[in-house]
Amino acid sequence: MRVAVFGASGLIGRAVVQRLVSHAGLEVQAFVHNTGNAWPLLRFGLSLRTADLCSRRDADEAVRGCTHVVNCALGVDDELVEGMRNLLEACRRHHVERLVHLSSVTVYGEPPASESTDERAPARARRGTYGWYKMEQDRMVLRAQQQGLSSAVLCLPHVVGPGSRLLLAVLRALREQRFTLVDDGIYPVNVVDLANVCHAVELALRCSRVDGRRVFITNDDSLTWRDLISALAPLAEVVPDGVPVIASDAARALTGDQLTLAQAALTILTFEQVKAVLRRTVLQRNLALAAAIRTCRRLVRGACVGRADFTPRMASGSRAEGARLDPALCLYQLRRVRHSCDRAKRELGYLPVCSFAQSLSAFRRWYETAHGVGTEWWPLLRELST
Amino acid sequence: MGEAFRIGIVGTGMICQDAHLPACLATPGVRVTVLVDPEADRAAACAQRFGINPLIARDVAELPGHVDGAIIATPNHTHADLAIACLDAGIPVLIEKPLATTLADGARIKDWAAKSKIPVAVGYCTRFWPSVVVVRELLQSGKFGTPKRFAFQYGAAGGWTPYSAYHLRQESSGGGAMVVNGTHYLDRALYWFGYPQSVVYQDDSHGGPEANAAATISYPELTGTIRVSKTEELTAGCVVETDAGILIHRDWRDPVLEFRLSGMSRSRFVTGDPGMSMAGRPNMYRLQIDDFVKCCRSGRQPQVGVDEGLAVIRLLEELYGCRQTMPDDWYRASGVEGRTT
Repeated sequence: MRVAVFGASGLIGRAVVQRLVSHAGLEVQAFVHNTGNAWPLLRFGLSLRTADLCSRRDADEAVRGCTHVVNCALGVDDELVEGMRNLLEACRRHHVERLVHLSSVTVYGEPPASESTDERAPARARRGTYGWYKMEQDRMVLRAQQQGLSSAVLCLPHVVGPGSRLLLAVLRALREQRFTLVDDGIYPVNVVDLANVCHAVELALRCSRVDGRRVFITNDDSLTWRDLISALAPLAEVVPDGVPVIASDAARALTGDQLTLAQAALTILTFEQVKAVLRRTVLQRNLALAAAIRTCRRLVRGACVGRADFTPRMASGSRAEGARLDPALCLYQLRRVRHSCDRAKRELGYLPVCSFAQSLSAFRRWYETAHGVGTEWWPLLRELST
Repeated sequence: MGEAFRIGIVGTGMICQDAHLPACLATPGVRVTVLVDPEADRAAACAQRFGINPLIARDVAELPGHVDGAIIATPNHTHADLAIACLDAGIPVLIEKPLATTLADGARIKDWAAKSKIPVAVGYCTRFWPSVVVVRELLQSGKFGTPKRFAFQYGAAGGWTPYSAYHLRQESSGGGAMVVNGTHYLDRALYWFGYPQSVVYQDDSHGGPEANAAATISYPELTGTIRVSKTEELTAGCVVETDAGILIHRDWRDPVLEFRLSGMSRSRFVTGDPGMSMAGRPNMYRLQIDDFVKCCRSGRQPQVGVDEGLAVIRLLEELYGCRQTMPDDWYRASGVEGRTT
């Protein structure tokens, strides 16, 4: 088996390459889009090449001679579709025996529909979003499967483990007091550890029962956001009970990206906490209204100009009074569905090899080494980040 | 204004196009007269991109008579031979950092420079930030106490991608992240604190170029760390702890300098000098070119000279000489099957 791995320098690609080389003992040809973060790959002594999947010629030359292909490549918008088209064409032309494509749960929309516990739920990502482009990719792979290219589509939630972008974002938000738990953190957080992704990729390369349809790969646990925050709080040097909490209706309003000022104001005025304030003295009521209007203005302005650093503050009177919100992390918490990996278990024989507790331990060890946390230097290094 | 200073740029890859060439074009009194690249098409495309019409040469042998100075902006392992060829032809050089990939090659350049008495500057461009000079003055004068500990840090997931990908080959880069990014901090540590007494070093190279590295360098009364990563985003800069408080020097970010006084947790003040703010800070590559031109014309020493470039290589070799492997088997202690980093 000669496996071409595209997107090999990314977080997942790198782990997949390492797993396939050192654990599965396969012959791997790693492809990167650019060489900027390719250094860690070089330690494996494997062949590393650059390929731009948006170039038909690059894709064709890359796939030639490979029996199996793993697509971990990232991209932006149309690049994802164009790159996928070229990769599928190359796979067909060179009679690739198996394509393993990494998809994302964002294909089910933001937030996903409640029926998306199961992969058969209709994908409904909004046009132009990342999820929509991943959905288009999945459709193309399914068509290719129907035309004879044996394909597996592994649908991943947030990836955790060493280097996890989600965990880093949460840590940072906790440390900067931008993290707010929605509804006390009772909702599920769908995650999959890197080791489990790699395990699933290896299974998908060898399994005979793949049909080009999405298969959820998760840690298969019952982790909630409250659990996640409790686990990360010591690393962020915060007390979990001190993390502010807001209601999901407030979170929805504050993370909406299509709200008008009037809509935002009306929504905020329906919050129970705001209503309670409005029943107080005239002065308190006026202060609360002024704060709500300021929040609405910033919300709408932030949404209109698409500012990445837009961090609305909760109006006075709410339980999270004065707290700055990280809209993306709020939005993630509104995904209340727990995606089931039962199909992966049935079809691929997948069983997670790493629990969240093990994953977090691995993350902690990595984080301490990579960021110097817990070392004698940490008190100085921390000064740079604040 | 007198005659323009004629510069030849050797190597038309990324650092030429992103830094040196734009800096030359923005510097009054400087003219780029030659672009040298064995791939002449790339040099021609570069000239066209910047709307200039220099002589396109494949070899530094074509430089004499056309330039007053040359910038060596090629893969690291070629610096020594190219610089010496220029010096041999009487051409002053600004060598992109590091000076060379080995101490022996660096020493060859130094010998030629001494013999020919022709200026050699080394491209540790961050030294041209006014704040770097201010910190040195503060530390050496003792005006902000006696330094006790310091920590440098730089980290970027990806980023710099030279056209030739020479950085991925140890023989052409001389190492990994500690060479490409870390040498800026080694240079700055030497500039601020002098040459250390002892070093400890860890990286994840496993025989290739390292992506992550951490050095500890110690002096009789002072110890510090330099950490670089090409896989993680780490806020770039340095923190110096003195007996008077903490000084924070940030790269690329305002406020550049921040001070916190010991025993006064709420006291914090930042420099108000517009020359040091990112918005008002002059382009460091321009200042570097300016310094190079001035030292070529006046015969004075460049701000970063060959001795300093050589000291960095010496320290780098010392670090690599005591290399220990950085832990990177994150799952083993958890008993997870299959190594995945």
